[in-house]
Amino acid sequence: MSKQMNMSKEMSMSSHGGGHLYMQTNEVKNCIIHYHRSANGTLTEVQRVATGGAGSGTFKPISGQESAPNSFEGAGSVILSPDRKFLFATNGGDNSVSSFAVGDQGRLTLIDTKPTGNAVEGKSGTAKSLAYSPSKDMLYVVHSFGPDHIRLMSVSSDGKLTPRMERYTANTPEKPHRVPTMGVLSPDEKFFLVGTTFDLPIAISGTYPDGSPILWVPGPDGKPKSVASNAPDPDGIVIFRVNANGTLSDPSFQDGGGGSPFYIAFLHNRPDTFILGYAVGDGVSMCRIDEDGRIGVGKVVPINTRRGAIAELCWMSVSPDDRLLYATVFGYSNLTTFHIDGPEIRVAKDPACPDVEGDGTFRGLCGDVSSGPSDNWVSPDGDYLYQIYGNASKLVGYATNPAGSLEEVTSVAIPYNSPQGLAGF
Amino acid sequence: MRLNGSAIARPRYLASKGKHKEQMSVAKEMTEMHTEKSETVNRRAFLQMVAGVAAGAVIAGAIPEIAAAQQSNRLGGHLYMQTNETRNAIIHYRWAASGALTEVDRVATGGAGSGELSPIYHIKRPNDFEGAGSVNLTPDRRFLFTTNAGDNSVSSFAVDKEGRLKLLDVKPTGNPTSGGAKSLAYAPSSRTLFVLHTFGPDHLRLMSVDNKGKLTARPERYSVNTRDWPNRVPTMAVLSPDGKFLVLGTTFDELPSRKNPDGSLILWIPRPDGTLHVIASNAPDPDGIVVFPVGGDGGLGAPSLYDAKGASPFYITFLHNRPDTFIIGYAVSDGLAMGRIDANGKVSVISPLVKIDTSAGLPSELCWLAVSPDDRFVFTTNFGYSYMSSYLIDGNVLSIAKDPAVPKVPGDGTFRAINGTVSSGPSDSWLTPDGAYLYQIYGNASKLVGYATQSDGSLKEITSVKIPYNSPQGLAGF
Repeated sequence: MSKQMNMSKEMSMSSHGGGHLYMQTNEVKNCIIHYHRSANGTLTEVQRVATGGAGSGTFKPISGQESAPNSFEGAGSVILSPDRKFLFATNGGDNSVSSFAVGDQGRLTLIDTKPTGNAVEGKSGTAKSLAYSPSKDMLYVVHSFGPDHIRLMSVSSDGKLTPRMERYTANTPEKPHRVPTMGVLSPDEKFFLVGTTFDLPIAISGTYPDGSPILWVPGPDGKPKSVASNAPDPDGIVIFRVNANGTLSDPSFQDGGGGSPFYIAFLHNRPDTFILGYAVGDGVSMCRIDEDGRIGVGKVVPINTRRGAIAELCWMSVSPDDRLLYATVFGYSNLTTFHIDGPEIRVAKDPACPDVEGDGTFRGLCGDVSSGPSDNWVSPDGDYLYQIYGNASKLVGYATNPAGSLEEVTSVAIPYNSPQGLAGF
Repeated sequence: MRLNGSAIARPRYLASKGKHKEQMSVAKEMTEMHTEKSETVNRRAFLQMVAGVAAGAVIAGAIPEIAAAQQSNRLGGHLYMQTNETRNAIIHYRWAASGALTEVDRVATGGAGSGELSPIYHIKRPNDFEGAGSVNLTPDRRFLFTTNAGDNSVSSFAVDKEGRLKLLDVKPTGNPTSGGAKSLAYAPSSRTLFVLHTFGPDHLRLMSVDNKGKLTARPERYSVNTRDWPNRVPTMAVLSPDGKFLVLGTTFDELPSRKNPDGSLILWIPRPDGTLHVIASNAPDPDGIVVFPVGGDGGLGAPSLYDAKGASPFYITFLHNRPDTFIIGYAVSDGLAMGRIDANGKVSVISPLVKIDTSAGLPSELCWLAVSPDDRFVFTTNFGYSYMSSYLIDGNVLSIAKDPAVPKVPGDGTFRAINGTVSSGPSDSWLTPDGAYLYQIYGNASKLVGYATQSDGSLKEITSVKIPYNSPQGLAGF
């Protein structure tokens, strides 16, 4: 694969000069860490900027664990506006959102911090995923816990935030405790797609006396039913049509094709096509969305699950030329890569990198000790991929390879367990 | 055994006795060295070894156990495994002085194994019964016994001087077909064979063995069930070295037969009061070890239940040189502890439970154990991880020696352990009397693998033979 072939002028510039990477610490006193990434991929911390909001700290609201990575089962908690003028970050602890101006040299200046409108119940809120519509100056904020999973904020031209009254849910009448994972706008901004992971969160299903999570609960017919979404109820992807004013229409609940359709990643050059990553289905699939917002889901391409089922394949990045897919496997402490070739996906490298070990205190749903890798981000030139390993207190950078393997080139220490969200340019 | 510069390191516990054993084995070694083209053995080494033969012979004559071990080491020995196929058979292997295995014979037991389908899990998998010790040799090596779990019978064989087997008898244990006979213990003093079954209520049945090896089923029947748990699953039975007590391990308080729609086991079930209870035994009910007093005629007294201080106390093996002390292997608590039995049969756990590395998932299903002749090493078979680990024993202190002690032996990918990991499902192991070699069944890999034991507790593979798929169990030898 020639990475240079599809490289835009903008991307080329990024490659020449390196760029900038942002991650939220999600500490109780939340802040954004701004890294400079050099042309050879190494990271250097530039600044830490308080968000003015509260993260959840090491507490994991979704499971009730006092200290564990991936606090919210979410993705996309830090995003940049396409014009790179603004950076937005959730504050999961107090259900607020912060906006920053992105200045010269990528430096951040806090502009605003506003509550999403959802009350904080218990030790932490759960705001965790953002999507931004430039055409409508609208920010969509996804929360782990409902019923009002999705709240909206208007963004002024100077980056000020105004919470709106609208509220939307990923629940169904039969499932009042669903957990969505992330929200993403279709490239034409006509649809807002929401992934899900639990029909019932572990914070409610509970744990057994030995601390292991209760993953099966009695269903309506008394038979065991998985707490994972879309397993097998065909309702794991929630799709809202975006109205002209940026508000959302009634949702349609569609079949995600596998257990816990966690992550949605649109291809860069095929705006009707996206990849689904399955936390419980242990693989990925290629999907399309039509003009009416109906999706078609391809066959799930599994990773190797010899280490234990429920790999928790959750976060994904697509290379700029849409030929490589990077998938973070939360339960296995590593990433797997896939080749995208027209309508087909196939495993490229599984695993694509050695395990990054944590401190041994955390286990994934498969029972393996894991460092709990979460959000990843690939540089615009596709040359480097950055991966949060929360339980290892590491943000690791890898050089990519056309064959799909990842070679570590840099690693920086980050706060323990809590960090999430990566965005950059 | 290689004697050249790349020689396999000898375990430390062979440092004294082992020297003589090695010397004793010269004649055989030389034959094998010739066939192995071991030209690096020089003349000085040869002369030193020859000189040592005489000294070794003197000591061997003085100490019967050592004599037996030396005999075993000098000539290699014999190893027996049941195929547990529907038409059950014992495979008789010769193990060479180098540790290599050669199949000598397959002798039909006249009974039925369970084949590939596990009666306890209702799927095709290794370790059909969650049991140990299904093949048993009498201490005088005259007779070999094996369970036939498919039809709940036991077979007896005569063992000749060449280790060859001749079927003597096959008799039903007396339990219905569903019983799952799987573990044997033999009391020479009363010629009583204790037959442990997977399914109760009559977990234990007795057989008398006459002086020609003929079997007679007895009417006695015994259970490990309790009032609260009527479907318990014991694992194995072992006699205390003084023959006064029959000690049983357990693994489940309830049968592992309930599954989620994805095939994963339902491990937690509600008690009558609604609280959740894991189906593993002794977790935390303090009743995982069951002890029966043994009467003069082999009949058993009322059982006592003891706290194993860990979940699923699967395997119990007495130390060779401390007859009141044993090692407990915990399938669900993922480690070992040391236990003691007093003159009244009272069991106490005398050491902390030392766990293996469980990074790969819980539970490890650490089940089968083998203790070195000098009681310094314990080798554990970790069913859920496709490998073995080893521990050091120092007085009453257990510590990890090597974890893992061997590379994984992969299976065919079709079997997952309770922890969800794909595993080759290793089960019974057997250590040679001299402690030099350990043999391990990997059922889902269709392999019986032999290892040379190393001084640091690691194991180096030296031989591997193909065995039937999934079903084989039980190892005994000399």
